[in-house]
Amino acid sequence: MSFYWAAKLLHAPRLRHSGSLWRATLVAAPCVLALMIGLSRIADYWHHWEDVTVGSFLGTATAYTMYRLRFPPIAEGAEPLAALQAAPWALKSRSGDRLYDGEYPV
Amino acid sequence: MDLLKRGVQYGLADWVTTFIIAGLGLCAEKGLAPFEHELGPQLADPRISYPYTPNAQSHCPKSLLIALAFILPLALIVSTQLLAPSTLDLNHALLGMISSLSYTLLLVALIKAAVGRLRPDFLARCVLVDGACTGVPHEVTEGRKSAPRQPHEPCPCPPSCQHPALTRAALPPRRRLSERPHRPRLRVA
Repeated sequence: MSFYWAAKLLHAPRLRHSGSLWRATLVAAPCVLALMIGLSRIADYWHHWEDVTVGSFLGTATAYTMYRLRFPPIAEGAEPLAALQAAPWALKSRSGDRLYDGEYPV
Repeated sequence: MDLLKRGVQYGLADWVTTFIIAGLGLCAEKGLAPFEHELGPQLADPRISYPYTPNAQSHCPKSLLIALAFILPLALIVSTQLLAPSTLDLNHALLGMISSLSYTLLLVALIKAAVGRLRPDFLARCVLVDGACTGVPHEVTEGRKSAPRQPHEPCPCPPSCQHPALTRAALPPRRRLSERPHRPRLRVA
């Protein structure tokens, strides 16, 4: 959820000139919620702290792998790769430079 | 042909794979028995002697966990579409989320079955009488599903494979020093 929001908020054209603290907070919110759930499992004596630590690494690694299977790196775009393969001219760098060297559709 | 192209674009094969992984994960979670530790050496372990908190009284009951792990992200992804609606984006975001949850479910279930540790409240769940657990069976089984294991815990394979001779047999044969290939060492002049 954090990765998805990070890309969306970074590349939303309407938000280009707005502040970034609220965006960072919004991106961190799902991670903080996950941390709170992990801590509650320790407080309830259902898990050891090592389980929660390793579980969070495992979850983050799986989530990032699955995200990158369908979306480009966060800094490069927020559109799914399937859409970019169909229309690669839509892929732009953060400064708005064209990243596609092929021909544009007529 | 157009339908096939659209199926590829919307990751139809990945949806099928995701549901297979989710099915396997659920089967592993429900069907596989957790790894059973020898209780003897751990009877006096303070780390498994904490009181038992029933699911309903815990900070985050299972129903809330499912809602937070599945329904909340689902709602957030759908609401993010208000920013820039796109069915392809929604499809891939949902596919990414569900496949991520499915793989995590399967991995965690397999780890628990292979090397699940005793939960901190295990002795309270177990209600030990004459070396045997007399607690509610499903709560005792759940008490064995704390993953991952610690390095000092015993080998999860059957005792036969822990015999030194058998362990030795599983490794490549030892060679005498004279038979080992010569490896020149880096020397600092």
